Amino acid sequence: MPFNPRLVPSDDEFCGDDEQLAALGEQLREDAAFLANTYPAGGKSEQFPIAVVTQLPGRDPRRIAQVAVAALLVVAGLSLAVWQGGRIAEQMAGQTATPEATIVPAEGLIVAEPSEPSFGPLPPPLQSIVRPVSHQSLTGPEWEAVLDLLESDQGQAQSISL
Amino acid sequence: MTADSGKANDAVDACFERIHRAALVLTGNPWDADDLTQETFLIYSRQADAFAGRSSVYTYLYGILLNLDRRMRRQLGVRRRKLKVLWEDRTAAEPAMPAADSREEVREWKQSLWGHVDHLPEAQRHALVLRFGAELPYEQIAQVMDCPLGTIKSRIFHGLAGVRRRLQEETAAGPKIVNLPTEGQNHAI
Repeated sequence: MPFNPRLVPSDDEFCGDDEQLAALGEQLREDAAFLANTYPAGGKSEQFPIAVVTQLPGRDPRRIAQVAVAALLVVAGLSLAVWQGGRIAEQMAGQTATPEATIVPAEGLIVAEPSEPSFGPLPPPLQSIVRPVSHQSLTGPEWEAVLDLLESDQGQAQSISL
Repeated sequence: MTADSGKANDAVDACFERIHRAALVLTGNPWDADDLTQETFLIYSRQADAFAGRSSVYTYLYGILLNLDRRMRRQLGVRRRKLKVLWEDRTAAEPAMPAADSREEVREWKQSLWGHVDHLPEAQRHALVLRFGAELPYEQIAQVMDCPLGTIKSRIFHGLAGVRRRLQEETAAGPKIVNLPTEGQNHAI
């Protein structure tokens, strides 16, 4: 098959067999002019806020990097907080799960002294005689004995602190 | 006012109407043309520093316009494909509002030859818009589209031939007068 390319005219205007195409081009030009006259630019060029637009902050790469780092830090902080919260919740759950029937020996009990006397202030004549006594070092049987003594000597012992 | 905004302002004053005219024949309706024109100048105002002055402001602006048109059509294509999927699932019902295509502004554009140009391949369509819509010389079109001069001439030639073929097919299919209301000319050749 012989190579027979169709040459495109080099001049601006088409000629000869392509008169139809030239007419089409002219018609396109007229149609474009008609459309442009019928529908002129909606926003006048004077109203286009070009001065405002050029003063708007652009997309500065440094600013984008700063925002990205800040976002990463926030995400890392939130993750850490959630993880720590989970750990604390686990610890608390472990404490509450200890058996209730754990027997603590009486020797291990810590007896705190109350800040105020249980039976109110002593009358002034007794205050010089009766002194507060600490029974922290007593064992269980000794405590029973002390309580028995207190019961039998109600009139003399005025106060006891546990 | 900065130097950039001053330069951009000059470009707006000088080129707004011409860019809008090209946008109008590209998009086919005045509201999309307005959006496209304003977005073109918006991009130009932000890239005014990047404009090295190797070409005229016109060619630079037309380059932005064609890129925006390309992007808009791509997005429109994706949206249409999604709508097509939805539409096929939907039962046939009367639309509550008339379609946007039935608006008078769009109908006029469709009845003009530019409605036929819209069906051409992108490269031919852009070449025809720049040649007959914006009335740029071949050399500037080659600059905007970043192509050799011969390629531009070929695209315009084949684009016009494609429009003629469409008109002939339309004439063969049935008598349909294609003309604008004020022209009184039959486009079918």
